[in-house]
Amino acid sequence: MRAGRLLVLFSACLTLVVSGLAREPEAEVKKLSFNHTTLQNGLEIYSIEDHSSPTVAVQVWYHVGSKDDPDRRSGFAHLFEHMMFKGNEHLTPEIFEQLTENVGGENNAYTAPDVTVYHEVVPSNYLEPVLWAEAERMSSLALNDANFNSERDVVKEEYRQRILANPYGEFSLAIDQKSFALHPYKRPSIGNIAELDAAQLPEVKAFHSTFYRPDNATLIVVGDFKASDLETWTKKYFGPIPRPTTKIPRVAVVEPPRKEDRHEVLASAKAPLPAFAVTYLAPSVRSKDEPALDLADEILSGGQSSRLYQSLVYEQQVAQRASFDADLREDLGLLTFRVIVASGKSLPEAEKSLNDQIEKILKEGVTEAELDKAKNRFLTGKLMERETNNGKANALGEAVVIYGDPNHINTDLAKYQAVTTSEVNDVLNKYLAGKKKVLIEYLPEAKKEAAKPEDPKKP
Amino acid sequence: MKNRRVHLLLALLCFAPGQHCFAIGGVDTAPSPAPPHSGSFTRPKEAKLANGLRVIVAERPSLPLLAVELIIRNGSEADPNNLAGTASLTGSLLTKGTEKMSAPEIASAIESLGGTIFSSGVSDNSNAGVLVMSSKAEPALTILADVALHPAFKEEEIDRLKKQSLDGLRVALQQPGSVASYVMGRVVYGDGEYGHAAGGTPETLPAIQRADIVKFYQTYYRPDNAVLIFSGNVTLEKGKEYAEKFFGTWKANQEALHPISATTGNWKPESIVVDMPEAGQASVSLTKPAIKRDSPDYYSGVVANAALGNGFASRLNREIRIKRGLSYGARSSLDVRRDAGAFIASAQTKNESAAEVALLLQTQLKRLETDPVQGDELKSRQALLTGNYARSLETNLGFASQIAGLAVFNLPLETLDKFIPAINAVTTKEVTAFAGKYLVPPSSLVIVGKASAFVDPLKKNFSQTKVIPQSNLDLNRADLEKQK
Repeated sequence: MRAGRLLVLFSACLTLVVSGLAREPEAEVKKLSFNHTTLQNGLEIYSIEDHSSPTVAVQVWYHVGSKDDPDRRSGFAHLFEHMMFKGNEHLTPEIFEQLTENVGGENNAYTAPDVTVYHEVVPSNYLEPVLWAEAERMSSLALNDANFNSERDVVKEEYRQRILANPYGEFSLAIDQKSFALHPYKRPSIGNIAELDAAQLPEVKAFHSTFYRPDNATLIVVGDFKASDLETWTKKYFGPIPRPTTKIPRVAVVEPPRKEDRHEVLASAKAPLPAFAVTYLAPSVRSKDEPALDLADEILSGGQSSRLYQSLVYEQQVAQRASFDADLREDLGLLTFRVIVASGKSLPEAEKSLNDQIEKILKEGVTEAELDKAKNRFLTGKLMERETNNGKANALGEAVVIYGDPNHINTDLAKYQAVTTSEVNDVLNKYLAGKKKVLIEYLPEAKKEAAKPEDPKKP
Repeated sequence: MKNRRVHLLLALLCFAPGQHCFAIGGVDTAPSPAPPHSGSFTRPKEAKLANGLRVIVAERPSLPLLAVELIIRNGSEADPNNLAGTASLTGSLLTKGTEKMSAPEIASAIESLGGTIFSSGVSDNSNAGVLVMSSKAEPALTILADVALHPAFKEEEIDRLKKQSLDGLRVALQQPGSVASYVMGRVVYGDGEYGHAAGGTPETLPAIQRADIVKFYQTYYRPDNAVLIFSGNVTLEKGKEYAEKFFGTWKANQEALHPISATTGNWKPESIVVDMPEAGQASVSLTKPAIKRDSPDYYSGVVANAALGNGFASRLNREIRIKRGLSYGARSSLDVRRDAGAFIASAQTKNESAAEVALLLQTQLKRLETDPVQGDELKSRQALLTGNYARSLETNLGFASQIAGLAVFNLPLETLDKFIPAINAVTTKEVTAFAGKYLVPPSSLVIVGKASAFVDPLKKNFSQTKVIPQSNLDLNRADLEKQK
């Protein structure tokens, strides 16, 4: 594609040979060659041409997420995402169904803490109309009280389904809420009923003009198209959208270092088994420590041979589930241990088991065999991502918007392969050893009294 | 395997009628689509080993990946009476230890290859499989064959798995949606082979003994009741060679395999509420027995179901989600089995709206006959089905599971190519006839939620409703109530 001012054409399939530390025969992951161009209004366009199936994946990544929810409007970015399907002067509200599922494609969207992503997969002859529709909703929305209120009701049902009808829904929400002191990551993406009810239509319009603009968006197109067509269509449909002169607001809040351990206790009338989470602050996803932290995540909780499964779930049987998540985001992240206690075992027993495992990995470090296994699992995952146009589009969008480096789709594997055991040990010590933690306990209601925060038995 | 960096809060989409516009500029109307580009699927090939094992290979060389799945053509429908969960435990235990390897050794061996291994027992089939880079096919197949042919069924592993399954059930039984699925099994199939919970119940799991598991394994896990499927970077020759090398010594049991008897027959529509006072939402469903996989009405049924409740533009989503904001998503499904499977139309809604949603579901079922599915609506649902189908064949595991879906029911492999033309050939008349025959006559209603919030308005339209307190629910009985 040669639209706009910039063109970077990465030349044809180089082959990256991965041998790493493993003794197995090397697997080949072909480099993805992508085109990049920037329109004059600031829209970034990345594409990969691949004619192996007659379909094309289209994604529009807006660099706005639930961390950008307006003050006292938790859940707003997500509610707004729903409103993006309501049409405008030229778009009927049914248009995305007409151009996708009604012709054999699919479409959806999601809101994450840092980004909001709209995505479609369509038979490739529908690429042009889909680009037109995405450009239309980038340029304007048509909203009224009736469609706003009915969609808000849908989002409230989504809240009830995810949070209220799920015995551990409120536990999941509490993890971010209790773990961040100041950063807006503390507000749940899904919001809450009261703040959803408080949202007003003019705020929706303001949100669109503030964040939904070409210079805050990245268009990804992967699949069966001709580069010259894509160039013509993106110029024609996205080109005329003006670039606002206002600045895009960015979250400037800096999460302060933790000064002390915290212990929060929540009661639940629905949880059949107690649960708890332990969190530590972690760096940005763009930190150089990211590959080692991801591999530590894999070693601690990837698959049934992982440390937490083997110790807590399998051997000691103190946990119904045990996981570790290196949840790294744009501004900073969390390292989160999460355990649902097995029946017949007590919460303090399970906490002790988890603490023993954390102590052990910090003291003794990880083994070469564990690290090899984590790298191999990463490699297979990478290959599976390449099975579909949508998978490749996800990877490219993440590379550009989340990692801030499109080449990340081709360089991440080598970065992972280069990580050593001592680097994994170093990052674990850097972010866990002696660091302040937040412990969140989630107890079946009747047992709430049994474990008060000042309980001296607690570590 | 963790590659995705974005922690998803998936949000379904939406639209509503009527709008006030402040749009500007741009191109006013949608450009027309270009003529479609053509595409085609891999044709799977097959062979048979001397011991009766059927081998199917889908050669898909584009990526160095390989999915291998072993299908056993029986599952939870063959659970012994009062021992619901036997097939499920048997399937899950395969990867929990063999004569040579312990459970942790199996997990560690396959995961060191960067692969995954899975096994389970569900309705109509049991299965075990691996997904790995194709360069690791041999070591992965060594593990797969060992778990499938030489499981140890150690007491210690049986106890551990039972305990884990019971804890899983404790969690599931606090969710209105999953309680509703368990209840619907009994409502549709009663005491029949599909009636019990495939994963077992809090009462049956503890009762299952090692001998029951061994007996199940010996009866059904045999090469002449199995299919081995390869999908990925492999040729038919190589697949045959692997099958011979790793599964060639598997001996066929000499005893004849007894077919499982028919399952349904005495279903009658009823209306049941399970009262869960703490439920954060109500799960509302209409259900009834419908068709077998090999029914001549299969394709018209699939299209009728899609018009009703498959996709955002389906009738249920339009009426319940888009027009009224009553649910995050409404849907219907047509489960097909060796014997008649269940049709289900359902939505989760706030407790106060449960009666309204029940009525809306019922109205939309009837409307399938009075307001026929035709023209653009029919075309759109055919496209939705064929598009979803094509996407399901994109991945190796997806391709393998489509093959498995045919192999379980002994349908010919050509059926893979038949789906798209058969769906496109379905007419309005056939959809209406299917609806009239199966969906319009009364269904059973199942609501799981906080009964006090909806039971009075519900009884205006469903006067014969039976309310079962959560504490009194017995999934082991066709009448669902604990005996006093």
